[in-house]
Amino acid sequence: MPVKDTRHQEVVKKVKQIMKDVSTDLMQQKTMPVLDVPKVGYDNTVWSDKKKMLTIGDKMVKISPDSTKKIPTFAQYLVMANAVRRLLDEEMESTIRGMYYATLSTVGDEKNKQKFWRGQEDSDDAIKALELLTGVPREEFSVTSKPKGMISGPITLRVGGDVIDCNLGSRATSQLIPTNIRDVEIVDVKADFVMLVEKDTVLNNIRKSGFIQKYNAILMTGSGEPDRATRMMARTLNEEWKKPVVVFADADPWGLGIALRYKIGSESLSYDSDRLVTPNAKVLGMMFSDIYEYNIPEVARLAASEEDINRALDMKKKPWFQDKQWQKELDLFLKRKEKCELDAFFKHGFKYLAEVYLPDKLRQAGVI
Amino acid sequence: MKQKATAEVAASQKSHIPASQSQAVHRGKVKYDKKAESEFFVDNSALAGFTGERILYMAVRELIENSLDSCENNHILPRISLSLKNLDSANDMWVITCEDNGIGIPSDKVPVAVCSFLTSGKYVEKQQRGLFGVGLKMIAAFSTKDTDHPLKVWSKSSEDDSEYYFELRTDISTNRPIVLAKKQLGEGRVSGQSGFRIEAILRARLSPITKTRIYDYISQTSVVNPYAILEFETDEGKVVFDRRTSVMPEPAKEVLPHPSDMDLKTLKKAIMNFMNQKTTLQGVLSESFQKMSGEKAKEIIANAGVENKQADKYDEHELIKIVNVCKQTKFHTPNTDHLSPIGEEILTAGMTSEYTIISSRSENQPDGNSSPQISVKVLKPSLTDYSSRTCVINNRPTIVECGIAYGGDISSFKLHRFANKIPLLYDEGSDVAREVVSEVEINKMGISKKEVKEQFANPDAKSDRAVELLPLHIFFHICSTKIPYKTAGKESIASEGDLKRYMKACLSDLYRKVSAQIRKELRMKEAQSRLNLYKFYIPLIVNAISESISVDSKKLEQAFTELAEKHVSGEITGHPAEEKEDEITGNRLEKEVSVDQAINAARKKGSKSKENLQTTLDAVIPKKKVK
Repeated sequence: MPVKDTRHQEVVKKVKQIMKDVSTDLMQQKTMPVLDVPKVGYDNTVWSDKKKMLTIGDKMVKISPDSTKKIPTFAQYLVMANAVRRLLDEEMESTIRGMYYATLSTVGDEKNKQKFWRGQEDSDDAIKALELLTGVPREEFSVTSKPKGMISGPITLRVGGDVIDCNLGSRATSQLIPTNIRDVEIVDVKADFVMLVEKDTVLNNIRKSGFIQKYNAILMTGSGEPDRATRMMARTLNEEWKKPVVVFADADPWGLGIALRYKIGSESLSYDSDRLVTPNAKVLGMMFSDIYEYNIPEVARLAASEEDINRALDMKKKPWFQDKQWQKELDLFLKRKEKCELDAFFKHGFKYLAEVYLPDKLRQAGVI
Repeated sequence: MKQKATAEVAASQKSHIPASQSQAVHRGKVKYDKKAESEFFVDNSALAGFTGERILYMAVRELIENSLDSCENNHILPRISLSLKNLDSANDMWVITCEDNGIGIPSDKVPVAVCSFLTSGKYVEKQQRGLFGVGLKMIAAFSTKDTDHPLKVWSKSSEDDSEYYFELRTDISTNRPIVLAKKQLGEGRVSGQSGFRIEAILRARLSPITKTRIYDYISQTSVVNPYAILEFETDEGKVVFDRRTSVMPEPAKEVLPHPSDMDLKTLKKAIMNFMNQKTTLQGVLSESFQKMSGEKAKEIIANAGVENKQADKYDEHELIKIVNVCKQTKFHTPNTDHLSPIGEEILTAGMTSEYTIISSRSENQPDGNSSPQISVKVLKPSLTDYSSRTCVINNRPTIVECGIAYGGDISSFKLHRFANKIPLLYDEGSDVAREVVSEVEINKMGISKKEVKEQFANPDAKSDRAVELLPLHIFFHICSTKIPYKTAGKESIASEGDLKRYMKACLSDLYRKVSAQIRKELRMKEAQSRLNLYKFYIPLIVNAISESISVDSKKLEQAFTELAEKHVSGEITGHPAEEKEDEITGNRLEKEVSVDQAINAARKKGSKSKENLQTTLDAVIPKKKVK
């Protein structure tokens, strides 16, 4: 507990420093205060060949009440900073949605009334800005999101005071990956490798087949776009526990994108890649070529949309996609214009995915 | 005739003769009737605008216009009281009363002036509101036709010693007045030195639309007649439009016809006027037409190839040659003495405090019966300007006047149209003024359509045209002895000759003149919205800081507010370069400064008299001349 307090105190101290700088500017310097926030987004995301991940560039955004357009943003950042300070003073924790509600208000008079936040996205952005301003991830100041990642397999976690054996449910259920990662500690990992899949439906199918017991694996899913806790869990298991991490997603540009979140990171969280990305993860499937290798019947294939095509064309140019194998896969996709979900293997039987396809792929990759 | 025709049809039906046979019987028996003027106008009341819903509107118009003409032509500052009240709602009976302080009508002329159609003092070549002497007669005839009430008239003419009271009806079949009573009054109704008062009962419906039109008509009349006191009373209350200036337009003078407008009839009439005087044609021409010197007349007669002899010795063949030559000869442009424009001073007085009748339901009625009440709303714009052009349209000199009022109390766009000082309320869509407004580029005002749409977004706007989003009132006045009306209803003006070009030139002038001010206002408006933004957000920011660290929140808020104000004002004065670019607007700015200085100077002197201030102002502002 005392450890936690010092971490919190550090955040509170940083918030107070921001406030102090602003008030000094206003009262002593008589100048408009400026918050320098690193820019987040596609135009400030840089591929690091050394780290093999997406990192944030050095572009900064100046948020100052100097400009009329930025006044609301400036106010939002300070209001959010103060709200986080209150949260920590009260030793409470909150979800990002909770922070949104805690700071809801209206601005203006009767004639010109408007909402302080246009929506939760605004408030999420303010939290992100605070992370960037303090250099502390929000989990460290007890602001989390709703858990959605799932884990199942021979791994034991300690959350707060409770010990959770994720293998307990065996074939029955999975454990949600806690988002208050500050409070989560990995006690023991008995598995040989970690397998990430795109969707929870696929995870459930694999778990039910007894895959975990047979191959001594940990199954994880981000249920679509993975949250930070799920990505962080994958990284910790790989970096600290030295477990190989493999990823399976749908054979379409979208699924490929999700698989890459784990492996190289994302533009919107590029500033936190060091904490979230698992560069050693191997994206094993589902390859576009698998559609034809494994004779997925035509009825289970989907036609690529124009958006899919554009995404694939875009991906082909990316520095992290220059591997010959991947270029071939994308070319195949662009030629056939067909995509496929992992669920399509159910057409070959409910156990086909877990008992034929996955072991095949894992064996080829030398994981089992 | 119509009535007789129906009677005949009815008769033929009674006799059970088949229609075809009946026609055969009557063939060759066409009956030629002469119809009295009164009967003709009653049967064709639409010619004078008296139709159905419009009867009360037209009655209001005719009475007010007669009163204004009666005052103005004789340099009397008008004071007009009009009342329109319901007498018997079951039978749609209305009492309309109008009183003015004009010159009245001599007692011996009252009956014909009120009742006999086509008897008028207005058949002369000069600009007047009414021209045909039909309006008042129409009211008399309709009152006679639809009610059993006499028309009551009080007249105190400057030519009579005392006031006379009349009770009149019109003999519609003969166009003659029926005088039911005539009394010389000791103590009269008319308050001033002279005046005229009329009370008529009319049967008519007053639809909400017509009611609005009547209110609009009176409101707009007051814009171009700010020197008149207008009192208006209805069942919904009474409103008074104050006199805002004592300057009156120069009354129109009667002028000689212009030779390019000559025809056989005018020429013969001119010759008739010199009958028995043994005048030569040359003399008649030079005396009877403007821009016709003796020299010129001689030249015309020579060009026509006829000899110059005594005027009454010509036959029509010779006279038409004269007319033809006149049509082909170039004369100086006609003079405009017979026109009476509103003028910059008067229109500006009308625009700077625009009176509008508004009808609202009062909420404080205890019985819950909230009948609407009328009241006057005064709109004071933040700036006005004026421009005019004189031109010749259809051989008639025509004056185009345009005024513009922007901002202040004005919140939306409106186009006001006037012809010979009469507001035009109907058919705006087909009026040339509407075309002019949509064709003159708004960027002459120094603002782009995009800026307007951003700054003046108004969900209530009826149109998404940029100009119609502006808080702008545009006034067009066309005066001429022959307004190119589009239709017989006289509610919209056609784009005849170069009229549109001159109107566009006027409006463009004004757009340029107001551009500096509008740009300044736009910047002020933006600055205000910026300041508001600071005002709204500063407390939130200060609160966030003062909750987190110990700081004097009052001082912090004060420091922040001062900084914001300085910042915003710095942004406004940050672009002074734009204003100096335009010569016109540059002048205007200088003018504004000197007006301010003049006012301050006047105040410093401790002079409380408005006149003093006015003289100081006059000295500073050069009077613009109407070309």
